[in-house]
Amino acid sequence: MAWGATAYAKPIAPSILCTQYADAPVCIGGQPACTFCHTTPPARNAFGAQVEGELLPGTARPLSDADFMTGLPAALAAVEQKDADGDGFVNLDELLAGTYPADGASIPAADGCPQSSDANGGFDVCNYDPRYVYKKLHLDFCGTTVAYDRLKAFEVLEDKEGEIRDALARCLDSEYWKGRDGILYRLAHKKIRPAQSIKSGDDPGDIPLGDYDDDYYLFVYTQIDDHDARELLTAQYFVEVQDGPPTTYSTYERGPFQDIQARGAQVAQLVEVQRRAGMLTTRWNLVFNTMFTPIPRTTAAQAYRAYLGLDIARMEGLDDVPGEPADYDQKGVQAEACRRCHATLDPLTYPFTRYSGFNGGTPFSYVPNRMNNMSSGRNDPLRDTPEAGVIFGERVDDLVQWANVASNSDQFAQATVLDYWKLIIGEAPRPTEQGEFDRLWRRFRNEHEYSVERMLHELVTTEAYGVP
Amino acid sequence: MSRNPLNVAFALLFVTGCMADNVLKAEPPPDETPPVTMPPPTTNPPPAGDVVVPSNNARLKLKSGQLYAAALASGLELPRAEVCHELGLYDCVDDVHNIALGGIEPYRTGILEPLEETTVTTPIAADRVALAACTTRAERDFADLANAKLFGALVVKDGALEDVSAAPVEATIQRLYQRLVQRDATSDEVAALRDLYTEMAATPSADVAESWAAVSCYAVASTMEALFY
Amino acid sequence: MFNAKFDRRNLLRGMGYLAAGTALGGLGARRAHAQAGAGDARFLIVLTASGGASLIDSFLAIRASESANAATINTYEDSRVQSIADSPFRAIDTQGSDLGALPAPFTANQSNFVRKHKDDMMVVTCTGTSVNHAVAQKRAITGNEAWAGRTLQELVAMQYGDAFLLPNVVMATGTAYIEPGTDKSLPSYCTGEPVAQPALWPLSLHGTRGVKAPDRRFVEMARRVRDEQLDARSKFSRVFEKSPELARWRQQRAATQALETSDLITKLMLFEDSEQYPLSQHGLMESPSGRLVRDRFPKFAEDPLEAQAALAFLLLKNRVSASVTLGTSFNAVLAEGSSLGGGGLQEGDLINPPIGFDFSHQAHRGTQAMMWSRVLAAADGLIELLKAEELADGVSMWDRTMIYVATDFGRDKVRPSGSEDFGTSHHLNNGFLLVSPLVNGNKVLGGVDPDTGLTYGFDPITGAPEPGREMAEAEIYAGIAGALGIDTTGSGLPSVPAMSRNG
Repeated sequence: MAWGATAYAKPIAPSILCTQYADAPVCIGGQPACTFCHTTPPARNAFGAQVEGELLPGTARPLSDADFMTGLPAALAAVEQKDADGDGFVNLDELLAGTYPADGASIPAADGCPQSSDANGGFDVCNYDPRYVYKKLHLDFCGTTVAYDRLKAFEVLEDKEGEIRDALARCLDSEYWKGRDGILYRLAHKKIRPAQSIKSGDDPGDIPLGDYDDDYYLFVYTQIDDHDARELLTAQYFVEVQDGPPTTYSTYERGPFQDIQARGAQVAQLVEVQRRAGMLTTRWNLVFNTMFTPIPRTTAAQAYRAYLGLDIARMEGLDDVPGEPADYDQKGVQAEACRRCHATLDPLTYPFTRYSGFNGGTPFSYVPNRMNNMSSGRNDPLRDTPEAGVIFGERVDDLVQWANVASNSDQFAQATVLDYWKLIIGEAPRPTEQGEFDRLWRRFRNEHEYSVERMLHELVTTEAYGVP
Repeated sequence: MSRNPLNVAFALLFVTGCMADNVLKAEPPPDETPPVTMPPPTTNPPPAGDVVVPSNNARLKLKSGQLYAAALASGLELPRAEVCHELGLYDCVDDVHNIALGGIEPYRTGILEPLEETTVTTPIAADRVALAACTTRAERDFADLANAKLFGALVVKDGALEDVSAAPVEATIQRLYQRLVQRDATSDEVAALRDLYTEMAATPSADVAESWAAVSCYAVASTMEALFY
Repeated sequence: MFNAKFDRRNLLRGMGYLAAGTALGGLGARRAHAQAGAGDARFLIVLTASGGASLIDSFLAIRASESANAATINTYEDSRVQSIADSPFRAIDTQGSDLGALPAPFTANQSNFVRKHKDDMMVVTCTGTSVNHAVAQKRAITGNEAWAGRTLQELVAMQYGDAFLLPNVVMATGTAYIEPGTDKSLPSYCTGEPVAQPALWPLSLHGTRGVKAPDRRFVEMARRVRDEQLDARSKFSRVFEKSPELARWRQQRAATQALETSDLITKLMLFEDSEQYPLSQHGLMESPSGRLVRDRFPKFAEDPLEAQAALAFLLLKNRVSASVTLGTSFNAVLAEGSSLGGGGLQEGDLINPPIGFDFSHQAHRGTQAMMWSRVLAAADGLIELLKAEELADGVSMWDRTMIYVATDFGRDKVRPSGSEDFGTSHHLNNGFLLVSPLVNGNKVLGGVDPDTGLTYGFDPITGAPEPGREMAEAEIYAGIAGALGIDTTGSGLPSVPAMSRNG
């Protein structure tokens, strides 16, 4: 067996599966995620392993895309009557019922509805249940428990929907939601990745290098009060906070010099205003992700993962760019094992190369000749690294354009809504909920005009949230 | 690339530099108390005819420690800061059992997301929080029953309930349920907690009524219904 | 994130396990099994070197005179590379006045460890498949999902930990080394139990001790009412009877009594009674082995790695765990009372640089030296403690233990011409250090090309070096499993007997 041989997940697989099972809930309004067949691609889960076993047996691996497309339908058909997860339901039944054939805990539903919510302990398991939502909403958004008396009063209200709407509006202004270390901070952690030991500003760490408080403030600001969430990636302002209650956030715009004067060199934002791209160019992002790296792939990959929901390390969002990777920094990324990811990652990264971390020019700022500064001499190909790059197949001149394309993409809307879906509902959409999810992120882009709060008002009306 | 001297200079530019009465009732070390051994739990089925339709979504979340402590504080009318302290010094939820109870610690230990699932220590941590909060509530109420927040209806004589079958006992149980799970107790639940008192009263104790108040509260506060939503 | 997803099969297994009398009587039986003899016991310590611990800056260091490209490859001046007598290993001992931009004097030593433990040391080469920290870390413990996504810790927990209360404890928080594997068919007891704070964590191992509460007997009565009546009969628990969360909760709650009866709240309590930790005031006491571990890891109060190592030993010694995972942090740690301001840092004040081994981005050699020294000191402390602990019949615990120094990847092999002070990026090519009487000791399996700095592989059967071959993560995973005596029947893993002491 060739251990370590190259093996890839096939991004074409979901579309083939959905061609074959168009009525499967997982295919309605979208396509299954990689995890339908994989654990961490290219490794397969139990269902994926069964399919692999039936996929052109005897043909040398890795399969070409053409072979894969030819062989997959028959392989899927061959495992329909098998039970990959051993839960007693065959794969086909699970596919059509919208449950996961590789997850023994995910099984098709049994029938039956209660006569009333009251008769069922207060849980209407077949319908949207306002009382259940009212209780849950207060915990999720306000961090409070609805008192017994208030719950009783709610039960006899005529306009329960109106009260739910009002309650949510109140909660979205609560300290639990938007205050310091509130729920919105929790959403931001994976994007900002704080490390207190190198924090500057308030509550500094042992080695103060940059202050992530600015990043949290900007994040929260873009998520509240009908602000446009795209500004997370496009803002050229920063945000200051007035601790509450009520905690309030307001924007300000200062150039680097003004900011040093106003707040001091330890925390000032040093990228000039017109070169700023929201969270992508904050001082903390450059301290923590770019650090000392000439071509800061980590910074770009983190942005792709954090704001667009695409993890290149898991083979997500790959989009081969002709001629790439050029390997300007001579890292050997043209090797077969690296090429596939770096053909996307490297051109995705070029627009980040003019923003310095610790070196290559004034730290944490936009440095047009950074590549020259970081090169080892005239013949160093690093000098040829372009600033222009490619994201989602679209050429962009610089990071500001990159951010515009990113923030207007489907991927940004999906990733934003998915963050909240997982936070509030507790897990990613199930196959049966894919349609609701799809509708929600599309409306977030259009009807909600990128307002997170408007999207959340709709999220709590979904069956995924409201049916116990 | 060699180190940029400016970088060194720039990096250097940044250089900048409660509960005292716990003593009285804390449980003694194990050499003074033999381990309590209980038979394995059994399950009592619900009464015949009491049928529910189960949820097919079956989707529940554990209340985070933050939510749980807040729920106990409001339900038991305790200031949040007085719900539970380990060693009398460290907030049970914020400082000690934060991760086990679904919390995060992003700034110092890099735990950016809560545990996806509960662990073996989660029920124990929840027990400690509930037990501490309920014991505090009972202790304060019994110190001044006339102004009690939760157990004031009980009629106590010589440390024992005067009549466990009396209406004030049921009213107290109802309050526990209303405060901790926001619904009325069923007759079965009332009976179960009354029976608990009877069982406890068979064990010599100077303050069985207060102990019952504390552990009844604990039993309800640590039900799955109080912990999950 | 940390627990393997629960499913009904696990529940049934768990219930069967409990029904067999686990809670109390069963515990005794399981303990008897655990202490019956040394023959079937194995322990795994995954000591994580997060950020990229480079072998060519330690045991495979290259002398300049050996390389055709000495100036541009990461080679060391000949005199700086020590050869260790009767061993294939090399070592770099270093002193420095700063670490990149950080004015932090340090002294680092590798040679003492090598001299002392060379017979149990084995270095294996490997070329990984990711230079993303989190992905590479996960692959270092799953062999890039070599066996249904099971982690090495889970393998050990399953084979050797069924008699233990917490077979797999994971402390290296903030890294993917503590993430669970993806094989849902494993029993849930294999899943890692996370510990974020070793000092106070033992308090979560008993539901009532140290809590101001009524008589314990009353609490037990209340628990029975709760479990058997209130929870069992409530409409809530019946409506949500299919919830995996509730099923798991019941199972975990059922395990509570065994944890309490074992008095782990005492046995694992690192700290002594003090004003900061007033144990006796609350009916608690320190571990009988508290002083032993505190003496061995004297910086335990300020250095998270030492605190983790101390708890790791207690978990193994008390047969609580078969696998423990601990490691260096990505957070900077300074000695108590020291600061970068004022007079600057003194020797030893910088305990852990920011981003750990990954600080090599700025100061490669200093970081590698300081961090290797740190990792080896923790390993040495654990080895000494375990050697002094008898497992059974004159066999020490160390005789049945493996330390796997897991790292994300290597670092760049090149440097600016002649530079002694440079930064490096991540590199797939590297390898691992294993320390154990179970491994093929005093061996380097594979080797390093002095002209490129790249490691090459070895024959998995004979261990003979094979220039031109690269070892895959799966092969190293299989070799570790083999050395630990894991039953790999049906796994499809390759055979790598060269990594085991007895082939």
